[in-house]
Amino acid sequence: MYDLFLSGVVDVFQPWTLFGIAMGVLGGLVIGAIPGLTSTMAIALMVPITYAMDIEFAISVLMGVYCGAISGGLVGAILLNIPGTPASAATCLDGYPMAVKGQALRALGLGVYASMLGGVLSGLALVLIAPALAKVALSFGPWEYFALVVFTFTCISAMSAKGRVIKAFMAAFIGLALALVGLDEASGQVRMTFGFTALEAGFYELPALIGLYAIPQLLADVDGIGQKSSVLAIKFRLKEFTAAFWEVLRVKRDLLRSTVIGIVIGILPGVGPGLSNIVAYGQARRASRQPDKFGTGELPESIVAPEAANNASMGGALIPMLTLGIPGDASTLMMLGAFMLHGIDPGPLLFRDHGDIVWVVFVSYFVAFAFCALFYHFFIPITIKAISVPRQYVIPVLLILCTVGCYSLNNRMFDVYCFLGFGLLGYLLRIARVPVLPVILGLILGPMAEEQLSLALAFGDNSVVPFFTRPISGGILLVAIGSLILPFVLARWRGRKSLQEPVEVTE
Amino acid sequence: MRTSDLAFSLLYLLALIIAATQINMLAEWGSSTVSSHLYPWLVVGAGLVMGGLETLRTLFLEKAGDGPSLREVWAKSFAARRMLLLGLFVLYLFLIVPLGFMVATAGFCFLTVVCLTPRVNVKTGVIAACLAAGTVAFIHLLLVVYLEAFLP
Repeated sequence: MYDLFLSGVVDVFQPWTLFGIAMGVLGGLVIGAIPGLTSTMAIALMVPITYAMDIEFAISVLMGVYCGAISGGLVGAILLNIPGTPASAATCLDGYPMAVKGQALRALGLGVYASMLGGVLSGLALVLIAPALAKVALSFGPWEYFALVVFTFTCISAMSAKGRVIKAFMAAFIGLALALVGLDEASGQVRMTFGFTALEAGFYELPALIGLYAIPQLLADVDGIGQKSSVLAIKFRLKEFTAAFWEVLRVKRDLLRSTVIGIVIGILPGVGPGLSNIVAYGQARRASRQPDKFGTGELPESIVAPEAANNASMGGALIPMLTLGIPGDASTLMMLGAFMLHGIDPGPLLFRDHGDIVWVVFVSYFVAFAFCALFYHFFIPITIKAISVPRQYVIPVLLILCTVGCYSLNNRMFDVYCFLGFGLLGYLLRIARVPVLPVILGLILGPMAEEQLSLALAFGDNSVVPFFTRPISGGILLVAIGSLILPFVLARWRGRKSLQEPVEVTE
Repeated sequence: MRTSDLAFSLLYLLALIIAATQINMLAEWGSSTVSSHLYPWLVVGAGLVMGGLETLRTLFLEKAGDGPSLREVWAKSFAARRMLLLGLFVLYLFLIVPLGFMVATAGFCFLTVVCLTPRVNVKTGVIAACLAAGTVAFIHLLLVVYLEAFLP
């Protein structure tokens, strides 16, 4: 392991790689700071560009973008009251009120240091948990892998907003059905191509990923054009900014709790920083001695909790992606696409066959956080400027970059048309309030589900009993069923409890 | 929202029924242990069940006044500015082959900035032209010089 660590350090600590990570972080910070542009979009824009790069360099740059974009969201949340990314949604609640009181630098400092500490702690969890989980996953058979895919979909659906559980499943089946298009490797027949030869190779993941995320988001962003945004003016003073570090350490209990929440939510497939920051904020409020002061911008823990949690989710989300090939959130889904683009399939075999690449991920993760912390100390004015760039200048450039990215994958226009088609599908799903993430997961995990199901049935004489009798597979399926049933049972139980309790009427 | 939910469910069911017609065209191979119809039917069949459940849920559990009305959803989703951007983008993609990547890209960038800016003046035109030129230059560097791609 030590030699792999050293190999990772050597790969990452090359001048060009460090420069690439730094640029990735800076680009991520700028994109993440612009409201409406998410970390997923930032990675989506970068993945095709990394096609011609070495895998080590490409992964390092993408880690930089990922880290920068998740962290960048806090600037918009604090100075504009609009989170740059959904990962910073809860930061608005106290960050903006604190900034309005003339303590913008304090709020930014609290957010930045909490992000950095949360991210680094989750990085340590990633380094400790991922190799151990990969060892366990090496013993997995097709039954366990198929059960994991089932668990992933039930997990996303269970985490969906109220009334959208079935819609999330429908979205997953759209993705799984789209994954059927093309050649069936087992029988050698083409399926669902409707006679189009271009479809025989199936859909490439990246145009689908970029289309489903970028086009609906950019179309929706058009609404923000012409709206006056009032970015709070600040005068940057390094001393005032760094003073927040000690304040973060004073609320270490909230920091640690939120970090753990972030890691656990990050590990769960399909949910990530977008949820963890809200849960961590809620828990910090529940644990606080002054819960009534939450939302007023007075308490440091009200900013520390969401920011530590959203960055902690990053390390957590990378764990299932690297060890099982199942992404923890939309951004790691894009990272998974990047690995696949370079001909590497994440999973337990990645640790055995490409241990050096795994360590490049680990080392570049920490280096990216170091750059992020450094940039925040000296380049906050740049990120503030990024928020103020009018949308009408950003939207066409991003659409063009997405188009160029899709074209450059195979140098063919068909991928660009697929990008448009998936974009329109994504927009339709947005109108119908159907989550997009299950579609992409279905598209990516579909071939794996089919292969593992076929193998499992072939090994088990067409019997489905081993899915339930093998301990790990049965356990995963039990948890999957539980994750579907439990929210309904809890909701019913809470409903009954609230009916029994006297209702307090307030004006 | 009830009407748009129903419309989506029906569209979804229709798409899966069309997919189901394609599964029957697959031939069965005697040598393989697992049927080539099994997994596609599992996906399409379970998908149809979900579509049916959602339709029933919308019909019986969702009230007519729940969420925004179809008119509100329609007005927001098909707002003039959004459709203008989408129209320009679709036009751009289909003009790439006849006009060439660079010309189409410059034209799209310039036109989009001009069309999306609320109050257009000379400054807007200059910014749009600079942005278009900068974007084209960047793409040329990226695609032609760095990625060595063949542009249409």
